[in-house]
Formats: sequence, structure tokens, C-alpha cells
Amino acid sequence: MKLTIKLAWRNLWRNKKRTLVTISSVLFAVLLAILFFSMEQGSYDRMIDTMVRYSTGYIQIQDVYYEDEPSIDNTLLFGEEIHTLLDKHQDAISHYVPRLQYFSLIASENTTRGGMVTGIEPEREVKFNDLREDMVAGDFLEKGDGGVLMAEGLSDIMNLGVGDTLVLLGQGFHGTTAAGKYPVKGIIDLKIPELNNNVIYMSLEAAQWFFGAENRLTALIIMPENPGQTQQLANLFTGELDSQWYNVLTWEELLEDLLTLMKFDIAGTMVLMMILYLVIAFGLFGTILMMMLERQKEFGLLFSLGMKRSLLARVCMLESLFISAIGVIAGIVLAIPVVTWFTYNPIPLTGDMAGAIEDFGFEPVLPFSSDPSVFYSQGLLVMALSVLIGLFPVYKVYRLKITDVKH
Amino acid sequence: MKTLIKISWRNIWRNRQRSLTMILAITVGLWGGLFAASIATGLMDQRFKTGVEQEFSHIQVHNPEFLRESHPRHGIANWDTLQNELSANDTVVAFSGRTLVSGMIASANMTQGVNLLGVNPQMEAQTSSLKINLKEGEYFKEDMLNPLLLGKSLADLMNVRIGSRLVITFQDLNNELISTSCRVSGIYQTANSAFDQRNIYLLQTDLNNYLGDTTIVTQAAMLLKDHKLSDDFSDSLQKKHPELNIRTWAEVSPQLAFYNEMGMTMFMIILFIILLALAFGLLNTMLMSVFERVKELGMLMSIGMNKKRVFVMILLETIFLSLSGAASGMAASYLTLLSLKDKGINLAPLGAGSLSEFGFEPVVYPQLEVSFFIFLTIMVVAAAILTGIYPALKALRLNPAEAVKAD
Repeated sequence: MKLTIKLAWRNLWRNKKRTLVTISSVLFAVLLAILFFSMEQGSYDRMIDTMVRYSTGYIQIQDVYYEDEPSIDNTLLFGEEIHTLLDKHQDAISHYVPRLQYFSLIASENTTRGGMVTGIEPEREVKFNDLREDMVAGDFLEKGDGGVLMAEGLSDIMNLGVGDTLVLLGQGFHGTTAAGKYPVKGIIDLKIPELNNNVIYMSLEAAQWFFGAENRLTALIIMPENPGQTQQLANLFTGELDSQWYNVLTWEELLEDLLTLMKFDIAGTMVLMMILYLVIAFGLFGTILMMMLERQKEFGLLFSLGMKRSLLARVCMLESLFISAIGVIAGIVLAIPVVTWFTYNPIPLTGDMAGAIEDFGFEPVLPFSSDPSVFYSQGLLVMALSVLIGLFPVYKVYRLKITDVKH
Repeated sequence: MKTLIKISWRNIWRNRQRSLTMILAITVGLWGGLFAASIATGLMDQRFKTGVEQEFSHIQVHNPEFLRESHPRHGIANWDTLQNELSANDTVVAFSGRTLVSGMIASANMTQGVNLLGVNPQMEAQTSSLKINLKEGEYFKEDMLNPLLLGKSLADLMNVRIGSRLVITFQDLNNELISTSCRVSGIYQTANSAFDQRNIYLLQTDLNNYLGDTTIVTQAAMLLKDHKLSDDFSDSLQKKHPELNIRTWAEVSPQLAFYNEMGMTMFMIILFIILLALAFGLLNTMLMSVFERVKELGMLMSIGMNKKRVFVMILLETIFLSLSGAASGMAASYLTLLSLKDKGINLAPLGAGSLSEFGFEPVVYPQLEVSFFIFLTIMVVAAAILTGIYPALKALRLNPAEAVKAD
């Protein structure tokens, strides 16, 4: 065995040029596959990250019926059981965000329309989604505030500004009538038209009073200290809460629709990746085939001298293993700075729409992911491809007829 | 020159295995590039079409006041004139004048804020895919009083079925609140569950009656012959009607424009990566073939073939190989695209199967514009020839005396 390794290693460096060309084939393949995958993963991650960070959070605790029927009657009691749970796991929880959100009529002097009243704890909400950054007029809410924040589009529709008063009329907890008069304290630009034309924020206490839902929430958003532990934490919560009353959901369940739709894009990209692998494989195959043509005479000579085919096959196998390994490792090493560069300097989107896109709160760039899995998954894949193709010389060694060798 | 062409042509067929490898590499590369581009175009097109057909149309027309205040009194003033103009214009394939009112819908135990869209069933069926997207029930059942169509996600949320009674509430032209009961005639489903949850379709005649004016149209959506005409057509229409707000799909939905822009850039990069992989595979294959031919080339030089001719010979070989490869690559791509044109590629085995729950097929239909087909072919041939120059230069540097001795 030692001899085989020695032979294979020496063969590699006997013809340096040839070896380097083959290694560079593998290296380039790894580099390109990593770049491709990193870009794909980057935009996927960003989309999920945006949704999780600004809308659903990593974990939500809801009333057990709320998911099927998001009505004010199916709200969650933010009581002792939940507080005990939060205290018990306070090391694993970065912060939590309580929300009470339900539909209500919003009326000014002449206009009435429906909208979403969202009760928030201002300090916690800001920690979650930087809501304060989007203020365009007036002041942000404070804890227990009696005023409301209006989304900018809604305030235009209703013709209301800071200091004006609006009337809310809706259905409260267990069929009570909810009604109240509130001063507009600030205007906030929520960017996404659906939200911007519909949302009113008020302090959690005010919302609970308005809906007659004392101490109740529609959802409690929980952000774990380590997002990688989301599933474990959710499992713990599920185990410790009474499943008759509480429902613990992770972002994967909350964003199920979006994730399912994204599968189409992911599958489409997978087809593209397969094409890339195919092109890579053929490049490698061509290189190795050429190498074999070149070495036929050498092999013929070795056989004539009495070398066993099985031994030579093993030498060839080892050679391709060495070449693949060196190529893959060098490719990863080279990819690290390239991907890091693109992670911090993502490719900007140009075109006419770039400006308009920015107005809507998207950053017009193509993000890259530098997650370690990007590197090793692609490295392993190309390694497998390359070893598979490296089996071709082995096959050739067994098939080669000494008498056919030219020169 | 004639002799050189003859020599290179014979050289190619003298060593069949080598030449076929090269041709195969180019064929696979070109096929990969063209196939990848066609899948990318197919994916983009699908998303674009879904967005345009289900939600945005190519162009939307509103009264500018309506966009700000969203009140039905801000209708399109000269709808009759505009309607005649649009029917007479052959760029416009179909259009639909809608009455859009924001309101609420209530079942026995739940209230939701929604957009009520009053439509003319025939016009709407031609303009959007509403009728095609109907999953249950009938498209505006004739003998039903106030028939309405609602999205599947809203139907699930409110627990309603075909024939269920719902109450809609909205403000009429005089700002009086109107409540009326409607029956579910059909349930539709688009790819966007948030859209389904917000939009309810009624007969325009019913809705306008309640609003107090039978002629109101607040939103006009139109489909053009080709989406690329959107910008020009919107400009010309705007010149004729400066009093109206006319927006293309990209202005209506910056999000769709963003995905389009991002997809375009991404696919360009992917193509670039595949081309790079191809070029590198070719370069290495060619280099290897020069290594293999050192002795032969040395012989040619020793018997008096000058360096320029050796260079031209190798280059000619490359050109022949590239052209043969390009021809077979084009043929292979053409056949692939032809066979997949109607069937498409089923992405279900790649994890997109769950999409059928959303009511749409997880199938991508590859398609490619002829100009792109030709452009890519030229690129690949150019890349192949360019990569042939380096090995040819390498061959020039051979020392004939040493080269003949090579094994």
C-alpha cells in the first residue's frame, strides 16, 4: 500500500504541467459551484430573514384556535403560565414581543374604512423591527400611551394628520362592542402598500382596553438568543405549556405558504445547478480523457514489464483521489476571499427600477451567503463528481490492449 | 493555406477519440448554456405572467385622487370615451373597468377588512385569470342575489362554503355606511394567498347600485399584445389623458419589478458562470491535447514546417472542432427545447410537489428567444476559439529538437 501511494504521488509530480492543469480544472469547478450556490443561498436567506425579522419572528405562542380562526375571541391569556415560562428560559430568549391585533372600523369626520388595530409594547417592538426609524411625522408611542400611530397611506385616505382625532369602532372580546376616540400622535411609513393603507398602532394597554381583552394577546413573538436553536426551544415550550390552550409555532410553520412557493424557485435553480455540474463534469472528463491518451504508451510499457493491472488501477485511483482532494481544497481556499468580498460588497442591481425599488424599502443588491455549509456542500459534491470521473482511467487500465498502444 | 486546411481536417479525424471528446465537450457546454438560459427565461416568465395575469395587468388607469383617497367618488371621469378608445386600439388585447371600494366582510363570528371589486364578468374574464382560477362554485351564478367570489384563503379563514351568506359593509358616494348581504357564488385561488385574502369580486351592477351611481369606474386594467409595449403605450395614453394616473405593471408593483430585475441579473451571472466553466473545461482539454502531441508537433517542425503554420494549423483545428461542436450543440438544444415546449419540466421530484396545493402546476416551460439562441452560440464558439489560442501559442514555444524526443 505504501508503495502504491508513493508511486501515485511521484506520478503526479513527474509530469507537473499535466497534473496542474487537471488540478486547476477541479479547482475552478469548485470555485464556480460555490459562487453559484452562495448567490442562490444569499437571496433565499435574505428573503426569509426579512420576513422573520419584520413580520413573524422566530417563534410565536398563540391561542390554540387562533391559527384556524384568527378572531379576537381566540386570544391568548398573557398570564402567569406564560410569564413563568419566559422567566424559566430567560437565558435562551433574547427578547419577546407581545401583540394584540384585530380588525376595526376607523372613522374620521367624513370617511369610514376598515383597518388593522395593532397593540404593541413600544420599547419591545422597536427592538424587534426598528419601527421608530420609519416615523415621518409626530412622536413615537410610549408605554401605556393613549394616542395612536397611523400608517401614512391610511392617514392620506382618511385625511388625518398629527393632532387630529379618529374614532374606532369594532367588535371586542366575546361579542362586546369596542369603541373609542383617539388622538393621532404620529404618522409612520410602512412601505408595503398593503400595510401602509391599513394599519394603526396603539399601545398594548390601550388596545387591550379597547377590545375589552384585558391581559390578552393575539400572539407572543419570541426571538431566541441563538436562532439556530429555534426548533429545540419551540419543542421545550410545547412540552411545558398546556396544549389544550396554547399553540407554539416556529417561523417555518408561520411562513409555510411563502416557503412552499419558494420551493418552485429552488427547484428551478436546482435544474440550473445540475446543468452547471454537467458542464463541469464534461470539462473534467475531457481533461482526464486527454491525460489517458497521453499516458497510453506509459501504461503499455508498465504492463510489458510485468506490472499487475490491479496495482496500476490502484495507482490511478489514488492519483485521481489526490488530484480531486488538492483541487477541492485549493478551490475552497480560493473561494473564501471571493465569497467574503461579495458578502460585504454585494452585486448592485442597475436598471431603471433600481431607484423605485429602493423607495419601497428593498436594498437593490444581490446578496451572497458565506455560510460554511455553502463551502463544504459544494466542495463535497465536486469531489464526488471528480472521483467518479477519476474512475474512468481505472476502467481504461483494465481494458487497454498492449498490442494496440501506438509508437 | 489549402494544404493547411486539409492537414488540420485530417488531423482531427486521425485521432478520433480526442476530437470526439472535444466536440462532445463543446456540445454539452453549448447545450448546457442554452438549456440553462431557456429554463431561466421560463422561470422568470412564469412569475411575471402569474403576477400580471392574476393581479396587476400590464397597465392600470385611475383617477389620481382615487389613489390618494381611495374613495369611489374619484372615478375615471370620461370612462365611455376612454373605453371606446381602448376598444379601437389594436395594441390593447383586453381591458376591464372595475369599481374598487374598500370595505369589510363579516360572517357570524368574524370580520375582515377587504377590497370589494365590482366587475363586468365578461370583461374581467378576458383581462385577468379570475375565471380560470375558480376552484369551486360558479363564476357569478345568474339567479343568485348579490353573488360574490372570494379567495380560498379568506374562505378557509371565515369558514364559508358555496352558498354561504356574508355581510359586506362599505361607504357609499355620500359617505353613508351600507351593509348588504351577499352569497358565495365561487371560490378562486391565485398563487398569492395574501391577495386572495384581501380581494372580493362582485357584479359591478350590484355594487354600483348600492354606491348610488351606476356608471362609476374607479380602476381600469388592460392587457397589451406584448408586455414590452407597456412603457410606450402608457406614455402615449398619458399624453392623451393628462388628467388620469396611468401606471405600468412595474409602477403598480415595484415588488414584481424587483424580482424581475433581480432574476435577470442573477440569471446573467449564472450564464456567465456556466460559460466560464465551459471555457475552462475546453482550455484544459486543449492544453492536454497539445501535451499529448508534443512529439508530433516537434516532428513537423523538424521537417521544416514553420512556426506560423503550426500556429495556424492548431487554430484551424480548434475552429473546425468548435464549429462541429456548435452545430451538434445547437441541434441537441433545439431538439431538447422542442420536446419540452409543451410538456415542460416537472419540478415535483425536486421538492416543488407541494405547490399543487396552491392550485398551480410545479412545471417550468423552457423557452428562448431566437436572438439569444444565436448570441449564446456565437459566444460559445468565440470562447472555444479564444481558448484554443493559448494552447496554440504553447505549441509555438516548443523546441523541435527536444520535442521529437518526448515520449
